[in-house]
Amino acid sequence: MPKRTQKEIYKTIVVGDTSALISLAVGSVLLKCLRISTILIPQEVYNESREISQFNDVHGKAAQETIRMISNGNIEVDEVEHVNKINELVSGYSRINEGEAEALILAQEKSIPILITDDFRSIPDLKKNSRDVEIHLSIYLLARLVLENIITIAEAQNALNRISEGRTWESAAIYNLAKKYIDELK
Amino acid sequence: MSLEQISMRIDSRLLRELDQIAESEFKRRSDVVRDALVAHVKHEIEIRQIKEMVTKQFLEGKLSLDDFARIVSFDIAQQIKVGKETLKESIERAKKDSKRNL
Repeated sequence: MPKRTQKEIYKTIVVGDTSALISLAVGSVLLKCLRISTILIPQEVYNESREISQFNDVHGKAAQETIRMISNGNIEVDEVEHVNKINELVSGYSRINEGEAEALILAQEKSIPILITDDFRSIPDLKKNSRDVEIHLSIYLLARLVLENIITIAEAQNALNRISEGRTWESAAIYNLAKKYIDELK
Repeated sequence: MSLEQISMRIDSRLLRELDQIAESEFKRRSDVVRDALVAHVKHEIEIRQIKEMVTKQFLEGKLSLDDFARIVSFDIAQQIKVGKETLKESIERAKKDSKRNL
């Protein structure tokens, strides 16, 4: 556990997949998340973000912000050692894509306890294979921003409104429920 | 409301059947296509609204998983169930980790 002075904030380390980073960037809170957590990503998540950044829509702009933060060193890219495990996951579970598989293997290899993803379809299969890694939504970081007084509840609600726009109706339902839980945080 | 134009390719057999329908209803080909499209989109919107309503009921604990799955399909019901559980876990973990900074 890192030492902490009185002024230092305890920072967790999480591994992020593309969907979680895009959500946080769409919600305009990604940079603020770095105040409370180091975010590590695998190479494939960087590749996916670059592809999405080519589009001129909300997600494309969010991906551009993610790429900027990676270029500035705010988000670190790391390599997975056991590449064969990625292929096993992707071929064994149709709902786990390459970025998610790499993110999970990276978290396991580096003993990072949390993987954040907003791909609801892949969560059940990720959890089956997660072992010591906890699978959480990007809302984990959003809730912490509220609890640690970095953003207000209203700002978190606005972020969730932006994140849920353009998502499937199933995902939007979860984000609407998240707004209720965020409201109850304080 | 402005009108936009679209073009499409369809199978020649389907086109002949479309023309037969248009003739029997004294309509233009494009009117038959437009009416079918409007009906389909309206139906899809209604289905989506029903699914959103039952999802809200399920998430509020007012509908069982079985009944929910009958309406939205087992796969989607499971996805939303796991999504709800993961959301709760994420909030609890956030509360736990935030205590270190408070």
